[in-house]
Amino acid sequence: MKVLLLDTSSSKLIVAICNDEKIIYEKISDSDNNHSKLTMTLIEKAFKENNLEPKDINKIMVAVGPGSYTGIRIGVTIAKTYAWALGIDLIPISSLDLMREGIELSNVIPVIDARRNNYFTKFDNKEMFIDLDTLKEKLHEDVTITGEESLKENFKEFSFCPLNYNLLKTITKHLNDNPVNPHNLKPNYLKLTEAEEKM
Amino acid sequence: MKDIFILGIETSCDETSVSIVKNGIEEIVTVTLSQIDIHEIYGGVVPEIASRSHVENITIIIEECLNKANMTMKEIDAVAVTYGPGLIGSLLIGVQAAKTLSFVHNKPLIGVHHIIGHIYANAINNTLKFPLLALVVSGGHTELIIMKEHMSFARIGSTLDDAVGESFDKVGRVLGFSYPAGPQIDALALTEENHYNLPLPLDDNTYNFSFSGLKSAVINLNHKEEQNGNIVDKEKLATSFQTQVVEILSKKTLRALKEYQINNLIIAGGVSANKGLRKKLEILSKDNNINLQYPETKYCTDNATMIATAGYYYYKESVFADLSIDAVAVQDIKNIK
Repeated sequence: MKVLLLDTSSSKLIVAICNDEKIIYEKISDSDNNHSKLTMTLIEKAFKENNLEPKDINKIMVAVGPGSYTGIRIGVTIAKTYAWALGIDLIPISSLDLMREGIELSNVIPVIDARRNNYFTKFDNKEMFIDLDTLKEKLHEDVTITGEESLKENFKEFSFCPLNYNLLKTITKHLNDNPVNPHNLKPNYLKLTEAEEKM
Repeated sequence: MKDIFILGIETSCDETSVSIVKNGIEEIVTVTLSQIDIHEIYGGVVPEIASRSHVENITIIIEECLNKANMTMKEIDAVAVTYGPGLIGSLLIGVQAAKTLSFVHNKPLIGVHHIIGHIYANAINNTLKFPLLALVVSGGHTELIIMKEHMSFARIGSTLDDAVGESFDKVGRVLGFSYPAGPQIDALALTEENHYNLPLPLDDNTYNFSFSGLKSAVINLNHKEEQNGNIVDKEKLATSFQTQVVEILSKKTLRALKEYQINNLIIAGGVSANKGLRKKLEILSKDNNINLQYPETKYCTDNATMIATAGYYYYKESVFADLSIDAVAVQDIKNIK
């Protein structure tokens, strides 16, 4: 069973290939938001290094957001086109889960900067778009925040754990999630566009 | 010789379009999903909404195109995609989908310049005669380009500010037309008359264009008349605007044809559907022994048929892209040959 995992939702570009519960390729790179250029190039390189053909992949997992709108569209477009073209199982995962699952602590809250003092986060099993003050009111003192280093500044009163992806754990955990029809896969923006909100 | 089938993908603005073209001339199938109804509510294209719609529909449209053509990717020789210029977020979806298709099916990838696509809309079910002068007029472009042969492009002039289609939309908004305003203004401007004595914009000896001054003239005139309590005849004002636009476009085009001694003229881009412009150029061409060609109306606006058609000529020149190709918002047309 070979699984291809993609996450283009943040400034980091993640490409991993897992073969029977073993990671055979893993790249977590600071692509400098060059995901559009680099994602397919990296996949091609990963396949070459491991002597893989596109059709050898049995499942594709992709982070569908929340996160950078443009970023998640890149991963989602690649994943859905790939899965549709070759009839491969497609499993969407939350970029917040991907962050949280890598940290071996309890009470970990994944947080993504959504700009203008707003954040994407997940707690009590619910993903949300929330402003800083409201979020802080809701958080218990004993939680640990995980996310990009730049978050630290605004969450000084909480413990902070840097991102530490455990891709094998994530892949194993979601391996038997229900696959979705590639045509129906959409990014999870958690937010309307500004134009729609103003309407 | 073996037939060459190119699958084209176009997502540079608000149309998700996929097409299969045979030998760079024969359209097999084109499927286009227009988002115009969505953007009409906002009075223009909202880039984020356009991007969201592309990502939701891209595989559906590719599948529908292949199904309608009764073909599989096996029979496709190359995947061609618009990489720019255009709305970056929209372009990205087509580019990623094309890269992925090319990779998983091991097909050559072709990045098509959007303007080259518009020019090659004239090659659908048709043959281009060289040398030719191309007048490219759309919502994003106003350019005069000389082609000595296939895939050779020399730009002799372009707009210094607004594109011609853009000025139609901006003037249209002021005069109370809904988006897109071009076809409505065109429908009103049945005659060529400059009722309101609007200026002829950038009437100089270059081949460049400028439409922002003309646009401001319309806006100011409308404003002044309203302030004075006069009712502006929107029909006459719209007619005056189109008359001056068509006049300057034809004047500079004709002068370029004479200076460069070219007698083949093509028009391309969304505004090439403008009846006033076509009529004027037809008359001038007849009077000056110019062979004028323009695309069928359905190929004037953004469509993947023209991208697959242009893609064939990239294919013939063996100009392929690799998987690192990126979308670009702005890029001048350049020689491929």
